[in-house]
Amino acid sequence: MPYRFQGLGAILSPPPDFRLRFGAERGSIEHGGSPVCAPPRGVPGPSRRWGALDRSPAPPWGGTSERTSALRLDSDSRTGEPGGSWRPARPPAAPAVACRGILRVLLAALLLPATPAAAQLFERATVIENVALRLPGGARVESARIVVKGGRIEAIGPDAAKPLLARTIDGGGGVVTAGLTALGSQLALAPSRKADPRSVMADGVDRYDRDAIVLALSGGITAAVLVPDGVRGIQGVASLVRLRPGEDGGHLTVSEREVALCLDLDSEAGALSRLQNLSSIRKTFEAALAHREELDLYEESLETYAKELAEAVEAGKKDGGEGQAKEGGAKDDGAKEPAKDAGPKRPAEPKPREDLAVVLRVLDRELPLWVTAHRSADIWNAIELVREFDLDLVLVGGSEAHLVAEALQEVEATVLVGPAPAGAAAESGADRRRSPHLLPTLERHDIRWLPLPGANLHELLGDTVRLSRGCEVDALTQLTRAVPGFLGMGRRVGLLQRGGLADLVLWSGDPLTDPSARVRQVWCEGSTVFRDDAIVSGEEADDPPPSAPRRKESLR
Amino acid sequence: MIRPSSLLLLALLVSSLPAVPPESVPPESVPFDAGAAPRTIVPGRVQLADGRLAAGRAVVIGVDGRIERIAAADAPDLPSPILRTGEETVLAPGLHEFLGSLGAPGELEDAVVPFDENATARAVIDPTRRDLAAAHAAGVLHATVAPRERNPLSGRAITFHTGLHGALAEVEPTRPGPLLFAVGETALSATREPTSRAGLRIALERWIRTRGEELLAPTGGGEALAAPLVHCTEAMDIRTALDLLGSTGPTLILASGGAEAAAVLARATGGGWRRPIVVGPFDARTPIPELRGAAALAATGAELIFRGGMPRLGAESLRETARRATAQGLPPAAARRAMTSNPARASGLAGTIGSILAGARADLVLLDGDPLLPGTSVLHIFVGGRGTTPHSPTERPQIPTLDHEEEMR
Repeated sequence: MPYRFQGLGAILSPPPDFRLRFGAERGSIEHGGSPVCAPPRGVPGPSRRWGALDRSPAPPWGGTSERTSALRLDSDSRTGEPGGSWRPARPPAAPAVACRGILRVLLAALLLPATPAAAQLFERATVIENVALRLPGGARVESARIVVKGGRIEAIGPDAAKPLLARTIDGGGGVVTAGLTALGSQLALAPSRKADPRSVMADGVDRYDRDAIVLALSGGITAAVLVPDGVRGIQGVASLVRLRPGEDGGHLTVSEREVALCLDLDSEAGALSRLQNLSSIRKTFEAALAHREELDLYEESLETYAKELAEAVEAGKKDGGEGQAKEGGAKDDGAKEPAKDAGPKRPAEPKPREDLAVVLRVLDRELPLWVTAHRSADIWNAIELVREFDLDLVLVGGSEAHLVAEALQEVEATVLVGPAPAGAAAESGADRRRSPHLLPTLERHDIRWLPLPGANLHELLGDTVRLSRGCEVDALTQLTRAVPGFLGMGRRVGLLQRGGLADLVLWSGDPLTDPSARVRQVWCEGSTVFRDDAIVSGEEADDPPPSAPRRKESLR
Repeated sequence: MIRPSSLLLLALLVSSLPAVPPESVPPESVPFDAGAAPRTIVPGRVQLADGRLAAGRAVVIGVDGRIERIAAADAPDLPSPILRTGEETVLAPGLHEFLGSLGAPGELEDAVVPFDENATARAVIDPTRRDLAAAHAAGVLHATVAPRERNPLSGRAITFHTGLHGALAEVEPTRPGPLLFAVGETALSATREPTSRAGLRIALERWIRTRGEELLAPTGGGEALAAPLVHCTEAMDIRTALDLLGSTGPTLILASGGAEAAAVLARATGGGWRRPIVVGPFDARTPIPELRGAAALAATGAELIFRGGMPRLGAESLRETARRATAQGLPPAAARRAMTSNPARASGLAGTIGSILAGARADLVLLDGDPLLPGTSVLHIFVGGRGTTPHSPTERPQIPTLDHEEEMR
């Protein structure tokens, strides 16, 4: 019978078909403890010694052969067999060899945690138990357990198995929801002073603004799209941030620098001012197209110029040859000058326009366009604009969208709607004609709507619950499924199921039925980022960040 | 294959079961329509006088438009017609907007007479204002309005029904409302005495010596006599208020600084302050420490009242204020009392409005959930036991007052 030994990581959470094994049948134990790592049965592989991990098959959670190869201390390449064959290790010659082996084990134990693969392998699973799950759509699962490892949900539900030696967190009968994603916030962002298409919000966010980020986390928010505010026209580029500590010591991490280009049609302004604003935006779009034509023309002219230049040089050579034959090769400046004038003229290079380059990316549909407009007239202008330039419309605000619902349906617009203003704010300004039937009207026209946060980001869930009164979709579905889906990361973010990113919020009660429910703890990608009304830094977290830098992954 | 003997046995078993008594058949239920006056309402849950929500209760309304009794939902003697609502519904007392500007727009700019005993808010109410209708549709059935706190004594507050049709209807027209004092900076003026806090204290002491006995001493009304309202600009003014007017059991109004006030009160009274304290209104711009101050005050044992923000902050501002305070640690029952029974108590109308108790007016709100939850809407409103559906703010509700009801019934 072979003596099997599973490595520490495998004991903590043994992945299927991935194990260290000491092959007694190959004689290593009998010969003084030089074990051989054998592959799973039937899997050929190179012979290695001393705790080398199998390279095939690949670990089921995506570990690559490059990672595991870092663990190899002594691959047996001496055999010279192509592809390596499994053979017994040589018996140790003397006790000194055994000592050397022990040293190697110690060395390996010291070095292993420093590698990303080992960090993942040796990371203890975190189990959150004694919680209820509140799922999008209103379903509730009682007495559930969530197993988190490697930043992902490894198992979830009442029957989820608890891995051996896992770190356990008692949820105290609280309720867990997926982390909320806020669209269109100004979290840790100062108002813009000047509209500029080149300004990217990721560059302006204060990632050390602890108070603002604590407030957002206390509302169960784990990701937010930052949009420019305070300026009209072409405002700048929105960015997506995740509320987990960055490598620079900040309390948030930029996940996607460029989410969309934002325009504001300034519905609060007077009629003339709004028209001038729209005209300026249209001119910028046209200028971008003209700039592209200019660039194309320049490239063509450059090619022509190159050809003409080559021809001129050829002709000059011929002329020069004849001249040399005639004048005996004497150099005469006066003779060269007319040849230079007669040659092709280099086309003037257009001035580079970085601002127009951003607009061109929008016109090429590489970057989405979000247009803020409230009044029906401005929404019409936005519709005309996207029709003219063949773009998709994402309408932000849309207080009077119910008045132009048919046209919005025609251009398949998405409308991002914030909480309705109340009291004096509802009596004046661009929102004054907002109808309580706005969202039901949009739903009746099959227009997708998504919630925007109100003045307080931490009240996002409550505001969205109030906003979605009388609607077909519920607030939690909107904030945890629809918004990540709209941002193109719906396959991994906001999922309360195996494989989803472990962005979790533990509430003291059910946030949908208990008015005193508060956020007790927040995990972002499996790491605790907020607990007891405070940000949890890496040192304080119950699950310290891996020693190796986290691999950057796209959320899409 | 079923044997005939088995069928016989089954028939015998069925016949031996006790017959369903006719009493357990649900009593007559009526569909609700506007203007209906059910004698009994059986909601999913009822807000009790202590602010908790309890299931399995029925509210029996007398023919005089007052609550007759609270009974078990399955009691056999519930009078018909009975209105049964869904399990999710909550029957609460009408919400009470306290010291906002509902129906009384604008502010008193001049403060000439330092101690104005005769001023009342009655003269400034405009019963035709649309904000009253909006508040009524949002379940705010009563409002207390007072003159602004620009004088050491600004006058008397009045409490009225928001469902007005053209004329002001006070809840208790014959009972004087509470006097409004101010001991903070708002009562100081550059053009008349007092001009400083020290001067204010001296003037107030003098007034209490000469007029206090007549206007402040309880005359046997006990709880029913409205204790004075005292506006404190800062937490430090609480000490003055308690020194000068503490014996009258005043209702303190805090402009800000709930957490500081909690500390001052705890020190001044040894944590035994049980009179209402007015805080708020809280909106989206209210800082979190301010919201948590409300919870800190409640933790000392004080009863809270949420100051109204209507019409400036909208018809749902009272529930929004309560929701925000609850989210920051105020117990839900205390938050519900702060919108209903506590303002009634501070207005001198405890037992008349603000509670679902035998003898109180049946001014009730039926909601589709807990009033503290953001997704909850008002389903029906009952004024003096007679129902109506909520109207949009642009419509005029036609609400009968209690006085007219005798004729209508």
